[in-house]
Amino acid sequence: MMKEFSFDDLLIEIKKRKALSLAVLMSVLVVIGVVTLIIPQGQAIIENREELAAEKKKLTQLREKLAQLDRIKYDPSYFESTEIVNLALQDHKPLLEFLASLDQVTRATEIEVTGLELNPGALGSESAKISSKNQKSGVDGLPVSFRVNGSFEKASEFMELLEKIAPFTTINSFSVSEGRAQSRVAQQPVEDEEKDKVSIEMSCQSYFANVAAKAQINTPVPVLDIKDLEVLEQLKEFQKIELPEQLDIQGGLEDLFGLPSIDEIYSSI
Amino acid sequence: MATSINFVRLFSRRKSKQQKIDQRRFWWALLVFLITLGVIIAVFLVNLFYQNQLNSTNKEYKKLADQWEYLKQDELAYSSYVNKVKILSSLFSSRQQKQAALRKFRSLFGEGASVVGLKYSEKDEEIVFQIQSDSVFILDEVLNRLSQPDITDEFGPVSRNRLTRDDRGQYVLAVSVNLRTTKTTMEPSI
Repeated sequence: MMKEFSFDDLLIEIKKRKALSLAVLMSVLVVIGVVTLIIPQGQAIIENREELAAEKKKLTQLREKLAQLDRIKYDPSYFESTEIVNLALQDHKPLLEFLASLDQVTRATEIEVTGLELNPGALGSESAKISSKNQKSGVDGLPVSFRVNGSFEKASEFMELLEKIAPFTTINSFSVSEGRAQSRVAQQPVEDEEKDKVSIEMSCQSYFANVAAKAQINTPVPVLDIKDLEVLEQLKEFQKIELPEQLDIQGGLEDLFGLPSIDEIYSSI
Repeated sequence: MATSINFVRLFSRRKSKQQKIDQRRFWWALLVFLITLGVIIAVFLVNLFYQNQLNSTNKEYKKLADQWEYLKQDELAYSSYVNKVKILSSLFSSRQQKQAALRKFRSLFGEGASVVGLKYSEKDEEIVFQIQSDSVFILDEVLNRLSQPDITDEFGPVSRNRLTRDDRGQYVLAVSVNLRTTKTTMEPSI
């Protein structure tokens, strides 16, 4: 029969074999140390290292972004072209601006514009700013159609100038009919100048931006590529709008509703 | 004479052998223990280092983020500007082919031939020109000019749609240029 190994026996054995007991104790401590300290700390190191790498990346991006923003402050092309870019692509439906530019082009080319049709929609509403149709592309258009009468040469010049106005306008379709005089060629002879007259049905689109820019800390500052810089050069040829400003307020307030003035009322009391 | 018998000799020999093994185990255990202790200290220090780094990085990031907050309006204005330029760039390129075709055909023909009619539709991506020639010889020149490589290379084959002759002997030829086949390597223009 086997002898039962009691706790007292264990104590006696520990006293007898101190070196082994200490070795066992240290082994147990090593295991506890590995499980409770080394493994969790190791995991924490890996996590901290990954987090540090990510934070450093973000920091580098932010430093670059700030450096970029600092460079923008001293970028002459930005300041030179901001006005024309904002005029070419405005943040609202450019109804008045388009009409003013059309008037300028019409005067410059001595052409007759008739039958102007446009559908501006709600000008002051939110829908005027953002249309769901073109929201993705960040641009929307104000469709305009009209008829142009004049010599072929002048009409060509008109079409060329129309695409050089601010707000940015593109001719979507046009159709040149033979003209008032030329259609009579078969019946009677006409003067050369009259014969050259044409009538052009034209529909165009005046564009405006419909998405507000966003700035986020972790997104890089957008940059212009060579193609965009070429566009800036082309925009220099654009005609700026000169909207007439009302400086004179006529009428006054004296007789707004046909009532006597304050002075007259007081003098009569 | 009585002989002395050592009853514990075997026991003491076994014990001293056991002690030696225990001693050896103790030293090995001590070595492992010390290495483990060293590893624990090293791991703590490394973790402390990374935490310090992380803290200083976060502090610097916060400082730069505050700076960015001041410049946010500038960035918004610049982003809006760049977005607009990019939109304008795409709008310019979409009408570039039409303008190039119009400009080319307006100045293509010599004396006696002129463009008298034009029709363009963005939807169809096609421009129809009506070219009037004063005589049949000039019409022949016009037809030859339309088949020249500089035209076909740039605009693809030009379709001849209709030819009419009026009472005064003038010929009007209607040709259409498909802008889909037009090469996009043309000079940018307004």
